[in-house]
This record gives sequence, structure tokens and C-alpha cells, in this order.
Amino acid sequence: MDIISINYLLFVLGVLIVYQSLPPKAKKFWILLASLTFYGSISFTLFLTLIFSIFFNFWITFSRLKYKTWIAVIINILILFSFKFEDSSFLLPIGVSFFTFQGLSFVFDYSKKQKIQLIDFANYMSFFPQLIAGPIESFNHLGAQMNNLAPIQKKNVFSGMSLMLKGLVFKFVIANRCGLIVSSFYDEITSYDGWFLLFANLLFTFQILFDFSGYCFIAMGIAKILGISLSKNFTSPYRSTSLSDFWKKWHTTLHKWFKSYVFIPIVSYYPFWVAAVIVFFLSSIWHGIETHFLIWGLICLLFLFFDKYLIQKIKLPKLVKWIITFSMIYLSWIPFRVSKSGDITNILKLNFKLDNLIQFLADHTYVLKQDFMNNLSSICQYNNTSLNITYFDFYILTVGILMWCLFSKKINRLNPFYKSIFLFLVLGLLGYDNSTPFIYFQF
Amino acid sequence: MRFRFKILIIVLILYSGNPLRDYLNKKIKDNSFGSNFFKIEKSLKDSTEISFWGNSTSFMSFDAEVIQTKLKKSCFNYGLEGIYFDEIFHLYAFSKRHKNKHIVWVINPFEFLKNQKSKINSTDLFLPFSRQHQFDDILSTNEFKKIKYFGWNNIFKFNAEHWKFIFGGKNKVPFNEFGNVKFQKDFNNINEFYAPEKMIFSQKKITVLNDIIIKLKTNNKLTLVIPPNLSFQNFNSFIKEVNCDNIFNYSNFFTNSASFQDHIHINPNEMKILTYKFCEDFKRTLLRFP
Repeated sequence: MDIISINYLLFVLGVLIVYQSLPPKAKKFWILLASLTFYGSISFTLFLTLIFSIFFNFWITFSRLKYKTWIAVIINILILFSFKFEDSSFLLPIGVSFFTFQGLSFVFDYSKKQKIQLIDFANYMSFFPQLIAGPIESFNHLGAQMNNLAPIQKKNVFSGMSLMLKGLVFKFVIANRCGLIVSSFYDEITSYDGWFLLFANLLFTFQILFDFSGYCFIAMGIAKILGISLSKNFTSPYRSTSLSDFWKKWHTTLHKWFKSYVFIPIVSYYPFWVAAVIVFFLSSIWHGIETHFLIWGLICLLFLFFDKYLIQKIKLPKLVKWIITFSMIYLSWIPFRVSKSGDITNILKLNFKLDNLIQFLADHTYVLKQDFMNNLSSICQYNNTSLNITYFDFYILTVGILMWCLFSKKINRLNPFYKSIFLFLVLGLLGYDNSTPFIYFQF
Repeated sequence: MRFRFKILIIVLILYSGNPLRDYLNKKIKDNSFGSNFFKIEKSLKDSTEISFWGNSTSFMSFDAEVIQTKLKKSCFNYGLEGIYFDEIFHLYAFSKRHKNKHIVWVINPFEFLKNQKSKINSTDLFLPFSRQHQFDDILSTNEFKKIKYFGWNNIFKFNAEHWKFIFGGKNKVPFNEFGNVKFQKDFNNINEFYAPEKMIFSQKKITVLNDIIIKLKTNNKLTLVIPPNLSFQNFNSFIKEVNCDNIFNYSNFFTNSASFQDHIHINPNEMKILTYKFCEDFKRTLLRFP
């Protein structure tokens, strides 16, 4: 079942209606059944992996084995990498890395002394709104809530709905349109020049934020209606004025996980840089075993040292620090987005010809001033290469990003009911569905 | 505000998508003269004695105006750009509505190669017609069912082309009053995939085509036409598999690249020459099926 489909919306609606009508004791069984059905509808192999992971992690946590933590780490990593290493285009490891990390955090945090029911653990591992791409929760936070499932509260309905709609607007109005130009560039890098690299990568910077946070808002919204609060994964990360601040605000739950279970244990015995190297190495291979992810990790690490040991030591205005931080984040997305490491070499060869940029701007000026209506469905071009986006979608995207940067605070302050109506109308009228899956589904 | 009242407002907003969809669909149909939507709308309302169907090879190879003058029978070219043989839903609707009309279907055999796939989204093309009763049994896929009953889903699926007509924009290169487009262009070797080394046709696609042919022949007189191409293919093996006794094969009618805009589209002058040839050939059909 595709998460961005009417089928999924109907599935969620059905789950909520049945959930509300069930007695309190049956609610958690219903949520488990719904979660397993949802995951089973994606792939039977993945479903079996989840079932194994639930039973294995629960059993080993409360077993009396001597090296149980190490065994758990090895088995979970084997599960994770058996999917990551497998060169299979028909079976993406959707959700595996997320529930594997949740399983490991449970093994690390709990011991045989605590009494925990298997059903609560299974719900924690498989909770359908966040199973595919997080947020990565600790049992302490999510498991405890799953143990006390209450009937749906009226006050949560519109709050949850507005969160879901916010996520859908992020995905369908902004991220999907960004993706058109970004893919045009990264699929055929040599057809473009350096100016377009700067532009396409800026759009990818927005795409990945709106795409991933969009998914998280949808997950948070569904959970909110059920009365469950999921952790926030994004807190205006691009407003950060230092890289360490950025990593606290970007994919917060993954970095919290690395901090709790990798960074802190290592930094207690070794210097900061050793811990940082290990964390960024693991974070890179968590995203994928391809070389370009390793290059991304290395660049992030070097930027982090540069920021921590140089930029943050100098007294600079906040705006300058923001510009430096944003530039580092922006540059680090290039090796993250390319499809193969060879593309980085192609990018380094790109030249900066002003003619192409001037022509691109002239085309847009002509369309805007002379023939706007008749050109709405014409395809934008750069240097005679199609960008796969129409002028209409290009302007919706530009205005959408600008509006969100200017008015997001005001929109967020709206009453959830009015916010839901506003976001629904924006989604219905301006949504763009090109059946692109969420970026983080591949991890 | 009370919870129930809020829910009522949400339900009203959800429902408002249906009249809004109908209004926007009507705007598209009213404003889209000379576009694909205009042709679909025309096919549901009007009728001509001879009608041409297919993709761009139809409206760029056969001039309906010339045919109307030469054969003294009303003619229109309903060909739609980029459409595949199994997506011509307006042809199915047309053939159901009419009897004893001459349907000339321009078939591009390259569509029947194993690896060829449609490059357009037929849902986009027929979106403004999702509520049209003539399409009731034809647009029965799940996609159209969802669109049909939930207006907001229809509006959500509007793309730049739909919005252009809603806002009053016009087609840049519109079809003329006979459904043709005529413009001269030098040869450009863009459609390289139309010159494959091996021609392996999909049996599954040919079976679908034969099923459609049976349906079309029930009420009307069907002629299949193979348009010219620059790949020097005669498609005899393909034609053998097709269950239609009235096939005109013009695949090797022009062999000089100066006649072509790309591998499958000819220039206006060649269109005229080919249309004259078609008229000569078609007279035989008129004798058999007046």
C-alpha cells in the first residue's frame, strides 16, 4: 500500500473508526493488526523480517545470555545489511533501518528486571504511521504511550488533521515540484553548467527538508489523532547558526540515537574527534553503502570540525554565522544527492557561463511580461535542455517556498480547525502528484 | 465552535469539490479550442462520415480537409498527440454511439514493440471528462472511479495544461478546424528509438489490438492505416497478425529524410501527397462499403 494514496487515507480512516468503537483492552491488538497488515501489504519478505525482529529483540533483551547485547547488535546489523547490500531493484528495504534502530535501542535500554508485555513491544516496533521512515522512537517514549491507548479525543482530531495536511502540502505542493528540476539536473549533470548546479542544489536543499518533514508530519498527525505524541524530527534546521545546532534540529531522532548509543559511550573514553568520526561513518553507511554517501559523511565531518574549532571560536554577527552554516549544509547535500560518486567529478568540471543564466532569466522575463497564460503549460528549459517542469509548476514552487518562509509562523499559529481548512484548499488546488515516493523510503 | 458543527463544515468543504470540479471541467472544455480536450469533446458531440484516429502520425499525415473535398464526405482528424492504441477512449465511445461510419485508425506499429510504453498520462487527458456518461463503461479503471466520485481528487490531479485553459490560456500550435497541424520543419533525428535493430512485437499488445478491432467493427466500417516511417520497415509480420482485412500500408511511401521532420512525422507537402494517395485507395473501400 502506497502511503501517498487514497487507499492509505481510507485505510487510516477505517483503522480510526474501528479503533474508536473497540473496548480499551482490544485497542492495542487492533493497532498491531493494522500495522502488520499495512507492512504486509508492502512486501511479505519485509513483513517476515519485522516479525522476526520483534520476537528476536524481545527474547534477547530478557534472556540470560552472556553477550546478549553484542549478539543483538550483530544480528540486527546483519538484518539491516542483508537488505542494504542486496542489489535488488524490486525490494527496497522500506522501514527496515528504522525498526532495526528501534529494536536496538530497546535492547540497550532494557534488562530482564523490567516487566514489559510483548504486545506493547510489538506495537512499539511496528506502529504503522512511523514504521516506514520514522521518527525513530525510544520504547520509553512510544512504548509507554502504546500501553495506555485511550479513545480518540475531540481536541486531537483537528490538531492531527492539520499536521497530516501540513505534511501533504509539504510533499505535494513543494517537494514534488522541487524534485522535477533536481532530477533533471542530477540525471544529466553534463548537460548543465555551474549556475544551474547552484540552483538545482538549492532546490534539493528544500526538497529533502519538505519531503522528509512532510512524511514526519503525516506520521505525527495520524498518531496525534490516536492520542500518541511522536518526537519532532525537524525544528527549523536551516535557521541554525552552527553545525552542531543543525544536527540537533535535523533528523533529530536519528542523531539522538547515535548520540545516546554511539557518541556518548565512545566520548567517555576517547577524544571528541574519534567519536565524531565513528558517528559520521555509521551515519553514512546507514544511508547507504555507496561511495558518495561516505564522501557526504566525510564532508559533514570536516565541516563540523571547521565550524567547531574555527567559526564558533570567532566572534561573528549571527547573520554571518547563519550564512556560513547554511552554505556548509547546502554544499554537503551535493554528494548526498548524486546517484554515483563519478557524478561528483562531473560536477567539479562544470563551468560558469553567464550566457546560459542570462538566457534562462530572459525566457522567464518574457513569459512573465508577454505571454504568461499561453505559456503556463510550456516546459522550462535551461541551455536548450528540458527541465521537465512547466512554467506554472515552476512559479507555484517559487511562490510556495517564499510564502512558507514568510508566513509559516503565522500559519502555524492558526487554530487547528482553520489551519486544516486552509491547508486542505492549498493541497486540493495546488498539489502536484507525480507518484514520487518519499526520499527517506530508500533508507 | 462545537465539534459536530466543525465536522459538518469539513463535510461541506469536502462535498464542495464536486460542483467546483464540474465548473472547472466545463471551463476547460469551453476554453480549449484547438487542443486535445477540444477533440475529445467534439468526438462526444459531433459526427463525421469519415473520421481519423490515432496519435500525432494521424493528424500530421492525413489532411481531413483534402479528404472532405476529394471524397465529398464530411471528415475530421481526431488524432491526439502521444496517445497509445489502447488509450484512445474517445474512439471507443464514438464507435459505440455511431453506426455505419468510416473509422480510419492510423496505427503506429512501433507502439507494439515489446519494450515500448506510453509516454503520456491518459488520466490527465480524460480528466475533464471523468463525469461524461459516454465514458461510463470505458473509463472504469480504479483511477477514474476515485476521481469520479470525489471531486477534490479530480481537481487535485489537474496539471498545468488544465489550469492554463481554466485561466483562459490558448494552445500555442492549435489544431485547425479539421483537426490537423501543419508546419514545415527540417529533419531532426530525435526519435532514434524508432529505428531499432531488432523488431520484436508484443503478442499481448497485438491481442489487445485485435480485441479492440472486433469491437470497432461491430457497428462501423474500419480501415487501418500504417503511416510512413524512415526506418525502412514494411511491418509485414505485424500486419499478418492483425485481424483486419482493410489495411493500407504506407510505411515505405517516402524514403527521403527531407520528407520527414523526424523518423515518423512528415512535412505538410508530403501530407498532401499522402492524403491524395489515401483518397485514391479509399475509393475502393467506399465501393465495398458505401
